[in-house]
Amino acid sequence: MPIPANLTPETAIAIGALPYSTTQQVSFGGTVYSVWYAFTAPDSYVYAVFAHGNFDDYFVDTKIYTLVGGVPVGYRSFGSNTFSDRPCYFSVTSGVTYYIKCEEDGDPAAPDALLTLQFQRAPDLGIATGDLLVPDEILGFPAVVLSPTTGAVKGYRLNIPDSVSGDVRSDGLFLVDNRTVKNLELFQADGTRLAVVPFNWTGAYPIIRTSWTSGRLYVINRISEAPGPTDYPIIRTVLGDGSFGPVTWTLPQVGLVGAAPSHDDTVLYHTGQGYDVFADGAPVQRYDLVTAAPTTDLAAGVPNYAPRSLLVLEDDTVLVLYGKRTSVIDAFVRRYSTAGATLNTYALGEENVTGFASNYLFRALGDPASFWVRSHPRVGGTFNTSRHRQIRISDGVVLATVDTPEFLSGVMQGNTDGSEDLFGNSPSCPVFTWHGPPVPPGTSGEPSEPEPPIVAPETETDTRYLRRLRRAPHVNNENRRVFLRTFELDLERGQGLATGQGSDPMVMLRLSRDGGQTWGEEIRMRAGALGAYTQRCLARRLGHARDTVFEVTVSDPIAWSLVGAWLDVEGGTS
Amino acid sequence: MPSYPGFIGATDRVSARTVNAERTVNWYSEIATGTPKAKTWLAPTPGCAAHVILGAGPVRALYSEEDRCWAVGGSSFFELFAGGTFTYIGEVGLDDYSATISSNGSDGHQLFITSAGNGFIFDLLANTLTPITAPDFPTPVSMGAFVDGYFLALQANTDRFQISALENGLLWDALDVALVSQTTGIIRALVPVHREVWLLGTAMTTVWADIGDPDFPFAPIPGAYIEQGIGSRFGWTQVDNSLFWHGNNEDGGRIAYRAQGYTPQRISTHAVEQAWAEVSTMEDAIAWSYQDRGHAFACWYIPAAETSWCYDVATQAWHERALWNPALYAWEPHLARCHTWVWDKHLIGDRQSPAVYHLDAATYTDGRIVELEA
Repeated sequence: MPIPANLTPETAIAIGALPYSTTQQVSFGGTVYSVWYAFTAPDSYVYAVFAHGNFDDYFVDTKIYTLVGGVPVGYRSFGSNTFSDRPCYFSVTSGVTYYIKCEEDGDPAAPDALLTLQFQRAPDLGIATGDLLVPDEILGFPAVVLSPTTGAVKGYRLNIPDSVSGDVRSDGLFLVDNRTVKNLELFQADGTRLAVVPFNWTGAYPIIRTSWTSGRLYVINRISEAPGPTDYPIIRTVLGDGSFGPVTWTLPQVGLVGAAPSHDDTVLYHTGQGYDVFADGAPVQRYDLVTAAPTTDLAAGVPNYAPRSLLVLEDDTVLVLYGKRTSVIDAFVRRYSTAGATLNTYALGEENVTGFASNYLFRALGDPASFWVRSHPRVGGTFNTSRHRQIRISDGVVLATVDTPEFLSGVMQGNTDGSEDLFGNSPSCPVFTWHGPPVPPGTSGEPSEPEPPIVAPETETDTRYLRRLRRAPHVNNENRRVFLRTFELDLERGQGLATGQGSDPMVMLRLSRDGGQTWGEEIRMRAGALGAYTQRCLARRLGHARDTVFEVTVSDPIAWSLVGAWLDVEGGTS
Repeated sequence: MPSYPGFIGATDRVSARTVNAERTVNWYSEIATGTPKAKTWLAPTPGCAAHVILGAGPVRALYSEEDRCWAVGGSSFFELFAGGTFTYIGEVGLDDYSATISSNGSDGHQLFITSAGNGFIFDLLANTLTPITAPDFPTPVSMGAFVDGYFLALQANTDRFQISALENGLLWDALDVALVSQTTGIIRALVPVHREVWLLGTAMTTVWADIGDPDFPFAPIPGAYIEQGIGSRFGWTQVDNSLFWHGNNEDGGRIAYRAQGYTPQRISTHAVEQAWAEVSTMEDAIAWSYQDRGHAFACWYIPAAETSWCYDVATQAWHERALWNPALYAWEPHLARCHTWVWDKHLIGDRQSPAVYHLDAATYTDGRIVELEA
């Protein structure tokens, strides 16, 4: 037989209908040849390639290229596959042709080397509410959707970035970091990206946690943003439009490991000596967001154990995941009341909870009866597998166990460490349950979405406008009834802005008919759009009372200058 | 249509609302001259435009001189720059009180910082921060000041103050100590006023001056003895060439005064005093002040109060400054707790965060508030 014809990208064999499978003899005359296949992606999704040899000494390196100006440029590189290894997964962009090079990496003189190549679209079974969404931190690998009962891969989401931290709030909005470009990305419940939030951190990844009752997403930059030696973390909120809330807090404690906002405007946190070092016996501390000061600790430290993750439950009780990695690796979860009393202890056993993973504990929306905990049980002498368990809060019964599958996701071109990226043992990525509408099978990949707006970083001015109030002297006539015909405010009119809030500035008028004790409904009065200098700001037929107090309030962002007021009244006789 | 008499006015609400419920929040009375349509009108108070967010808060002191500006934020000491940036300099400690910064200027090129009971010297030429380790330095120190070449340090909760070596805040001699024996009780505040040293105690105030004695230059001024103390350590401020403070003595407290010579002139109204009487404490009140558009404002931030209270020296009228919290449907005190004037800006330090704002009439935002929108 002649030597293979597909020795270059130009002569690559096109991969046809999927699932595709072929076998090719690649050894001739004492040489094992590298051969090429080509695949043009019909959609943007994840595909699996499985190339292997027919005996132990025939290893196959699988490398995937795209052509840029006719020159192959590496896209993904997978390590050697023998016949007993596993598929390699990579994401593709619709319309792009990918060139797959199957390269001999074993006995160069194997006389009867047979290459088997299998190629298929990755599972796309749709997404149901409650499925686990894992935006793993493997560079370039999409978020994975897992069944919450079997752990099977149900699908992928390409638009969710590689993350180290993330959380979902009660309306399904979820926020994750993008570890590649170091910003934050906010998504709607259906997985549509809502906003990109520039947020540059230096070294230590941020912590993202939701306060369940307030619905606020908190982002904690674990490293101080101030130059200098003090690593005081900065706490911010991210609002529903992707902007930062107007307040930042500085946690007066270095070495922050984990944190979680509570319902009562406190942030629970624990610290370590460094960012990835156990801090045995560290207490769970509290910081009051209202007073911006530390307050009493929630729980004293547990000897030989370190807190690794915090979660505030719907009933305001607090879960703390403790881990030990001394002579015996061990982990358990403890549930505390707001007063710090121990309510439950849930043993996990010989499981590892090291590394930075503020999301080791998470919960399903709408399920107040259970929580999820992520750990790394020992499997075959290592602690690589990620295990997620759903635990009933009341009695600790394990309702579900989901192990993250482990599979090859390739090495990005340009990676220098040469190591294989294995999804499944990524200990730091967030996990949360899908709260958006179900996604039908076959449509899981890249959702069609508009270009997300980029929200300006840390706007240093508040968007809340100054409210001004003038409560005027009493109006009375020797305790006789006074009929209030017309109230007119004299002010600088026509000062409205061209657009936005303030373009139609309003004055809120309230009356108290009992001398300032209680107040009626607000009456809106126009103060004049831009240039409306003759606009009259008045209210008519205001009823009657014996002791009236007028109050005007404004909050539109214009220069409010009050000159006075006129009042047309008619005295009663009683 | 008849005019509404008294519609333009000050905050004058009293505890009996049916007597007077008048309030003016975030407006102040302005007087029109010439032949105006109205002789008085309400002008809007300035908004808070962010200048810089420091690395730590709250902002416990601001100080500026010669186009340079410094702040104590939380436990840290920073230098601020006109462009909205800052440099972290070092740690000075944190407690519940304000910090103080004073300078001996071009002669000593030193800043004297007091914070959390300790003293520090910042060298203006070398830009280095040095803790004062002189064994005779009075600790815990509650505040510092500079008069006639000497830094003065008031020892907290005592009636003693001490002076540094001439133009050198790193050297303190145990013999350079004065006991304020004219008063009973402790001295809460030490304030340099017109090169004199006002020592405001819990119930009385005495004034000292530099008499040139080479052994100890400061001595009480005969007759400068005031039967009125101060209600909180930092409840004083200086503006319009005068000292303003809220008083306290054995008869009572919670009255605002202005120093007229050595006589305290009551400036608070009964309305203000009733409002202050209703707050749980004024022992943590902090006064700050500034001058803008011909108005000198002396303001009191009282943590337990609903709003901050401001006295307008020009009109002798009071108004309130506050943030509106829509979640709680309530007012909260204005953000400012300290002030400095630099780069043609009124910089204020945030009482609750690391933010430094500038007061800006063209800004209509109120700065930051605690309650957020989800």
